[in-house]
Formats: sequence, C-alpha cells, structure tokens
Amino acid sequence: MENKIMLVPVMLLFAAGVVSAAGFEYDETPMLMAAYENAKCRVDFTNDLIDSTVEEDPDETGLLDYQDALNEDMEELYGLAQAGDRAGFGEYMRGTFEQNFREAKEEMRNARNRMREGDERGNGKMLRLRSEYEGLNGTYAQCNYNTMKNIAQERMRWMNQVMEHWKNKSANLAQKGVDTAELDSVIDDAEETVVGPYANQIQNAGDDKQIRTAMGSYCLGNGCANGLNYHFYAKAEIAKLNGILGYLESDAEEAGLGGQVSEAKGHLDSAGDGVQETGQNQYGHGVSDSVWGNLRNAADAIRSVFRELRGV
Amino acid sequence: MKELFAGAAIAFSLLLLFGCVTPQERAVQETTADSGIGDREIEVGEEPNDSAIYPQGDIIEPPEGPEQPEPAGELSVSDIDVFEESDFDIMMTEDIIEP
Repeated sequence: MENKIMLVPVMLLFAAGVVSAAGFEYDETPMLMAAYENAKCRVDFTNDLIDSTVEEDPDETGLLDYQDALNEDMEELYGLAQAGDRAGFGEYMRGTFEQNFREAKEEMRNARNRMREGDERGNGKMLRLRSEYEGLNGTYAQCNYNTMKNIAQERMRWMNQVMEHWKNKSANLAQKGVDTAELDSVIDDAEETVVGPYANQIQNAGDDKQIRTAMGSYCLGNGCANGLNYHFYAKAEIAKLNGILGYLESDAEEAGLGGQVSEAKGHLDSAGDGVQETGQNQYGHGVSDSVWGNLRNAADAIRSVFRELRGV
Repeated sequence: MKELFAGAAIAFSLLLLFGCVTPQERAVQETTADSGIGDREIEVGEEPNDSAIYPQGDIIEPPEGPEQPEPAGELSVSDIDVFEESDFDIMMTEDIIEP
C-alpha cells in the first residue's frame, strides 16, 4: 500500500518531464539530469574536501554547515530535473546553488589559511591535505569528464529533435501548398553551420575543457556568450511566415486585404533586419524583444488575413 | 476360420477408409463429397493449437519514436503561431575549490 502511495507522485514527476516547448514535445529531463549529475561531481568533491579538512582540524566543524546547504541544493536540483523544469533548474543553478558553492569555497580558503598558520609548528596537516586533494581531484576530473560528455550528447539529441521538428513542419506546410524553399534553406544552413560542426567537435573532444568549449561555441539560439549564435528559431519563424504570407497573398489582395499583407510584410522585414544586424553575436539590448515582438505582430496580421479569407 | 479372416480384413479396410482421419480431414472429405473434386484446394481448416502458443490480448506499445509528420490538410491557424525558444542555460560555471 505504501509503495502505491509513493508511485503516484513519482509518475506525476515523470509525466511533467515531457514538456511542450516551441510547439513540440521534448522530454527535457535527461538533459537536466545530466546537468544535475555534473553539479553533483563538484558537490561530492567539495564535501570530501570539507570532510578531510575537518578530520585534520576539528575546530573547523563550521564547514559542515556548507555541506548541509549544498546537499539541500542538490535535492532541490534533483526535483527540478525530474520535473523537467528547465527554467526553474537554470534559475536555481545560477542563483541559489552557485551562491552557496562560492560561499563554501570562500570559507574553505579561510579555514586553510587558519590551518596554515597553525601548521607552522610543523604538524604536517597541510601536506596531508594536499596529498588528499590530489587523490580526490583525480576522482572529480573523471566524474566531470563523464558527466560533461553526457550533457553534450543530450544537447546533441535535443538539437537533432529541433531539426526533425522543423523538417516535419516544413514538409507539412509544403503539402498544404506553401512554398517552403526559404525555410528549408534555413534548416539546411543551421545543420551545416551549427549542428554538424558541434557534433564533430563533441566527438573529437578529448577532455572536459574541449567539451565545454564546443558547447560554448555553437548555439542554435542566442545562448553562446563567446560563440556562434545562429538565431535559428527567429530565422525559421520568419521563413515560415514569409512562406505562408506568399501563399495567402494573391487571395488577400483580391479580397481587399492588401493593407494587412503589407503590415505583416513590414513586421517580417523588421524582424529580419534585427537578426541580420545581430549576425552570429548575441542580441544587443532590446533587439531580441524587437525581433520577437515583430514576429508576433506579423503572425497576428497573417492570422487576421487568414480568418477573413477562410471565414474562421 | 476363412470367414473370420475375411471379416477382419473387411473391418480393417473400412477402418483405413473412414476411421483414421482428423476432424479437419473429415471436414474436407465431407465438403469434397458434397461439391466435387477440386474443392480440396480451396478449403482451409483452422490449425488447432497454434493460437494457444501465444498470449492473447494487448501488448505494451513501442515507445514513441521521432516526431511523425502531421497529417496534411488545409492550412490552419496553428500553422501561423510563433514560438520563442531559447538555448539550454543549465550549466554551472567552471568553478571548483583550488588545490
């Protein structure tokens, strides 16, 4: 009976992991769990270092409070990962967890400084700690490499699913009579410029630094501070709406809806200009809002034309 | 004694002719007798037992694979919807306790 009661929340968590993002179903839980496992490598390493420090100097038991905070953070991150809550996970990671991690690191540095002063009497604490650090660091390095590789592969799987989704969308629109040449060109270009090179770098990455470099070098959207930002989602939506507008245009002109067509075109051109000016950089201040605002306005105008024409 | 052997031979012959047949063969024979030679090629008797080898009922469906294309049709309002998406930003910064 007890097992049955436990099963319900667990099932709900897994169901919540399948989310609808960008209009398609993608289970974000594996990606988030991979990120959780990577964070856990660091926490385990830190906890082990705290243990060895307290063992050498029982006066430093205050460090154990930082262990408790990090362990609580890991529980929270685990729950968010299992729930497939990408936004919540990222927010907690960047906010609470990294803050607690920095504090633990800082307090560890202070504890070592205190121990170093006491160690001048030659009791060898620091030597023993250094030796233990080397052993624990080896374990951490292996853990970090394995989990980074998992994250990179999950990211690859996600990119492939995004491409698959847009190829299906394009094929579907083409069957409905929409000219999808521009959209297909965007998809092909994204595969050549981002997905292919990223896969290649991940495959050839020999250590965690190279994996991290690859992940920071190729972004489908706007996520690479020091890498290539393809702005695929905006480009694909612009191309899609251009195709749909072209499909409706002559009927709309005949029905006297030329003004709305021009309005939609104006928004699409403005969105395209924003993406064009940004190039492979991250969006400048306010540009993302402008691009997506124009896209939503274009969609509203096209939707209005469509409803007028079809009477829906 | 001769009569006894003759009787046994007749009984054995009759047994060979009518006794050693399966229900399926009898069905075929009966049909053949009714409608003429050639129907043997058409009649299909249900194989006994095979169905009992396999469990009956539903099986677990395969997991959903890659996204399947939507059924084609007329352009719809949902085709026009736009979705703002972002990259995963879930990594913690590269930061560990130094030696």
